[in-house]
Amino acid sequence: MALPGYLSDECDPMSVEGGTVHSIEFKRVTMRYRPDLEAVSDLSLEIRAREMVFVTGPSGAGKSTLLRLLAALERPTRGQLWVWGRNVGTLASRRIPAYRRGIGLVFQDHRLLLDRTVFDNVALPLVITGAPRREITQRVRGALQTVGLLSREQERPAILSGGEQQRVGIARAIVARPPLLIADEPTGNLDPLLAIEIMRLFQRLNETGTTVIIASHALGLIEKMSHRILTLHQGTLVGDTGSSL
Amino acid sequence: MTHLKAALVHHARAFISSLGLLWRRRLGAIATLTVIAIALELPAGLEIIGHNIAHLEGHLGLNPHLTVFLKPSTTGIEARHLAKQWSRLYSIRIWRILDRKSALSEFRRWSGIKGSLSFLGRHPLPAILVFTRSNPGSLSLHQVSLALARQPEVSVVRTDQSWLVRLHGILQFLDRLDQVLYVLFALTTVLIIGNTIRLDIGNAQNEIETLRLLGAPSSFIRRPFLYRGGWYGLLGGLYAYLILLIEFAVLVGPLTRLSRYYNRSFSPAWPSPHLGLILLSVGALLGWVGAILAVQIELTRKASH
Repeated sequence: MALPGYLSDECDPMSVEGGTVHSIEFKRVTMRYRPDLEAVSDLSLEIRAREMVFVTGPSGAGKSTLLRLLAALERPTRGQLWVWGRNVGTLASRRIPAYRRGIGLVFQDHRLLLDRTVFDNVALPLVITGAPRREITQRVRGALQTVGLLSREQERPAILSGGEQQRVGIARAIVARPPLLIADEPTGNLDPLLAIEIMRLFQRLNETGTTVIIASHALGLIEKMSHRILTLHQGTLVGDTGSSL
Repeated sequence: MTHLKAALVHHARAFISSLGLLWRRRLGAIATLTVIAIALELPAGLEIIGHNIAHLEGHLGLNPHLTVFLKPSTTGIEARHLAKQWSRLYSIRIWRILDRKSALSEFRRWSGIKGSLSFLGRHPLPAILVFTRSNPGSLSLHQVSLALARQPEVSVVRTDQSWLVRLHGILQFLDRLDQVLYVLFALTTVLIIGNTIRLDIGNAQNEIETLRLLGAPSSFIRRPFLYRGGWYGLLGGLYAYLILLIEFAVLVGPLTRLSRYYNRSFSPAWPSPHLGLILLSVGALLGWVGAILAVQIELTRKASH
């Protein structure tokens, strides 16, 4: 799998110290928020490129912490986290924005800017990279087409339904074509039908070659998707159905 | 090249979008701009008023005069020769030369005494030389008067500058006050803009957080606020210049009338376009400084949280 430009120039496979350039590896990762609060304990696992993985478990199991570690929103207290040949835990602060631009993030609360149009919200990752106007228009329309919201591009997110807002969030996450998509409880506020629709959307994105990692406690829903499921309990990996690749 | 192009695109977008934001929040922006404009206008206005008073003083012929009474033995030719010599030596301008004969006829005309002076045989009035400063930077008349008083041909030297000295003192005080006001109001402008940007950052908290999550570098997040500070300063400077023009449009009539009472034609100095440019650039600079301070403090504080 070809790496995107912003990662490949910093991830020469010959200089990789740990892990492989085509995988995500947690190597005995521990994450403590406080001395008495260990969110992830001694976690070791590997996720290969193009995989679609669900992370499940009860509240407080460490699902969100795992995703926050992947997005470099937290640094491991102990252990190593390798993403495409880079140790994210030791990544210099000034390199974190560029690293984050290689990841599409989908949030449960959407995190849309309500004073901007759907188009402007989806365009944000491209505006950040300084993409030309024509390219932005083309890509944003493509992403909105993928999530079925092209006709709503000039509307404000506030007037959209919860499901539509979530799809805008997904369009924003995929518009820069990141190789990794992370979603934290993307169906948490949606009714079952919309939840299935959103999951199918993720599945379609995965089929185009994007690695997708979704944290969800909707076990019934994710079991229907026939993909790898990681189960966490009190910060420890207690179940792994294995790679579906 | 791609990086340079992307940077230029970022700057252009931040430049335009920050102006667009001011337009969208124009009511609040106008209130802020008015305060900035007044802070920039006050010292500039005071400087122009001081300049006009100094200018008016010159126009009204209020330059202090130095009157030199020569010894009665000095002839008219000698008086003229001395006037020219001292004028060159002390860089002073000859205002008037009154030889003994002219002094007598003037005294007669002025006093109404005609016949009685003929009893004296030889009239007692000396030749008189009146000098004035050639330019404001030249030797002070007080120093010149001391020098002239030591000359053997001179009987008495008188200066009529006491009230003008006071006026100059007031003008110098105004000048110094203006410098102090410039510093204070510059500081005020920086604080006003800094505080406005600080509030803007507070209001954009959600947006900043989202941009960080999407991988926006700090420079990308800071840039719109810096441009916004620059715009506040620039537009505040323009606004200050407009206020100055309106103020002078109101004041020019009474000032011109005042000069007419002294039978002098006087054109008050209007705020020049050069001053306008200075207000614009100083305003933009102060706005930028205020924004840098606010962004540095506020975003660093929020990032550490």
